[in-house]
Amino acid sequence: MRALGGEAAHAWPLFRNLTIRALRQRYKGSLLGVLWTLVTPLIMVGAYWVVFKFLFGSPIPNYALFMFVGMIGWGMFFTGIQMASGSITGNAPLITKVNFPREIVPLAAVTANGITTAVMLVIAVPLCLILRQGAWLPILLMPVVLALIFVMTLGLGLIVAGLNVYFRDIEHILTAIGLPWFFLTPIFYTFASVSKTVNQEWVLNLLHYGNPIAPGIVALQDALFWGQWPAWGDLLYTAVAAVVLMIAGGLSFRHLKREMAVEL
Amino acid sequence: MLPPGSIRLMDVTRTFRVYHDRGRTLKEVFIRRGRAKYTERYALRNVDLDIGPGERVGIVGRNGSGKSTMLKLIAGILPPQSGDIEVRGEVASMLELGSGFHPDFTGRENVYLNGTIHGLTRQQVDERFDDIVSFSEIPDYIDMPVRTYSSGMQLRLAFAVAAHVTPDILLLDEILAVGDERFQRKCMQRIEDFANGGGTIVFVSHEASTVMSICDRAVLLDNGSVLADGPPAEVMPDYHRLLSAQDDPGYVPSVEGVPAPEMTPRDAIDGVPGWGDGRVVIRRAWISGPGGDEYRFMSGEAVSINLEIEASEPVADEVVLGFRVHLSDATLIFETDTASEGVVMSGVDGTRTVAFVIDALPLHIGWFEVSVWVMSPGGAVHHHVEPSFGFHVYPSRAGLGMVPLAGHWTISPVNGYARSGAAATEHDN
Repeated sequence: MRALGGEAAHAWPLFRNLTIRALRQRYKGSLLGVLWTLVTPLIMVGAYWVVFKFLFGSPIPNYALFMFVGMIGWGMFFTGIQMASGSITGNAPLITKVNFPREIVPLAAVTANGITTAVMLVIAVPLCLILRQGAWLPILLMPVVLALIFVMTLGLGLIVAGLNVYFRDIEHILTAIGLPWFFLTPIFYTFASVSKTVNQEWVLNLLHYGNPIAPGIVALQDALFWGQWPAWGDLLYTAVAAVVLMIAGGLSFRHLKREMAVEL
Repeated sequence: MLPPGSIRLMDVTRTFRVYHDRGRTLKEVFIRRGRAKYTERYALRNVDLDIGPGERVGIVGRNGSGKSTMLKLIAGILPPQSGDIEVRGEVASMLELGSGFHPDFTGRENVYLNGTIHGLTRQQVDERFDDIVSFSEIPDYIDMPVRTYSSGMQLRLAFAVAAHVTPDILLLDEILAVGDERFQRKCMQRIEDFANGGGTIVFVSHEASTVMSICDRAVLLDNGSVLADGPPAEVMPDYHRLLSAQDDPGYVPSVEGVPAPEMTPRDAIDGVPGWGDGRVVIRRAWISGPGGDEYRFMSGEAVSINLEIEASEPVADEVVLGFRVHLSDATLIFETDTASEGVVMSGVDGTRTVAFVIDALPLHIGWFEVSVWVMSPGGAVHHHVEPSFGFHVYPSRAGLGMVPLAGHWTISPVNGYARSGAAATEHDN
């Protein structure tokens, strides 16, 4: 019906520029700039270390690094979704005045967040290799796990970005569920370390597989921190979740984008 | 298959829901599910429109007539509810200049961002960058953040980027008020060049003069339907008519001496607004033309300004009748009265009609108002109505402005002999 060929050809430079814009927007004008990506999680890790290691006596070795690794996965996932949720509404002038593939906007937001989160790897990877708990070979799977988490985030990001145009609550809902979700995700504990207190296996299974991001984070910790091959179940779960969410995200966004310019 | 640069709207309908009380939060959506009150409003209703390559189409209409919606549908920003839209070729929409500019980024960065938003590749922006900057005339600021720019500089840069996108179809939404007059001329020139290069232009405007000068076709929309479609000179009078019907209801010829709405009569005499001692009253004041009593005329038509006066008690003294043609801001166009032209009206008894006959209306385009009065030669005002009525004048030849200057162009040829151009239009008779 409409000339779409041109759109796709021009999508890449626009995607690139919007990603750069989102990246620079985030830290422009701040003194530490991109270092904030490291400072914020490090402060959090410090605080959690005091609480969970010092006060509660967590049995996990190199506890701070363990938490840091989990936060890479979490930051890529949840912060990405948050950035995506406000991306369309935040670019309302663009959406209502120019025709271009709207998918680019949330994709650029998630990508920009993925890049900033990946900066954390600069610290995490060497430290994990130095203080490694197991073999070093499994670290080769880390990019795969991160890529799967990234695709999951894209899918969910498309869903929330589209929905947020029609129900502005989405951003607030995400803020509200952020902290509880964080605590229910095995970031500062492992399912093994809590299995003594929670002796009902179904509860642990629910926490493990009922939370779409939990298997991905467990796999990331395995590959990067523990130096062991991630469980097939975790990998498969994350891969399937990534594909399903991406399809759902693409379809829902395609449906929702039609009337976006009206709603904004 | 349509050739590139063409647009076809087939039976296109687009409605909007106007919510009486819009619920945008989940809570509200759930609470008033099924009883959200809204009215469906037609922005476009079964519109058929065919635009060929190289046409310059001006879309005019009152506010809310569907102009901008049509542009957004063509741009693909909005989908139609029903009907089909076919657009062939690359489309660049300048619906708003500088949308996508980020204040913290430098001019240079924004040029790249904006260029890609408009569908350019990085290499294309690279190639055109110098031209863009020199067109914008702000080379010294190009590496400063856009937030340090004046709004005029931002618009210039935005237009410069948009002007260097080379689409088949250019969609413009009333954005030619860029910078000073000289820069505006430059923008217009750019648009002219684009059109002369065979590009299709669809242009939304309120400004009749811009449409007249850019477009070779005008489409008048009203309530979402096409009211008129044709050469601007034919369509624009309809547009003016529509505007006048909306803006000044009752501002029609003063059949009963009805005054302009904004007039504040100090007094009303025998039910006729105006002021004065009332010894002689202007019963009616109106303008008539070849088509009878009207308030819309073509430039150069024969018209007359008529006054019907009445004295309930016979007045034996001489009376002076006068009128003044002026703009709504009281700028005087012409004023005269019987005495100063040596016409003596000695005494009024009962009803008399006096007319000022104009052989060829020497006005070009605009809305003009007329004030009328009757007084004694000594200056005692019997009745004064200001303004009494108004009328529209539509052009009968090319050009813009209030008054047509009759004349023609001559171009001196190489051999030095002057040759008359063919643009002359006679206006006296």
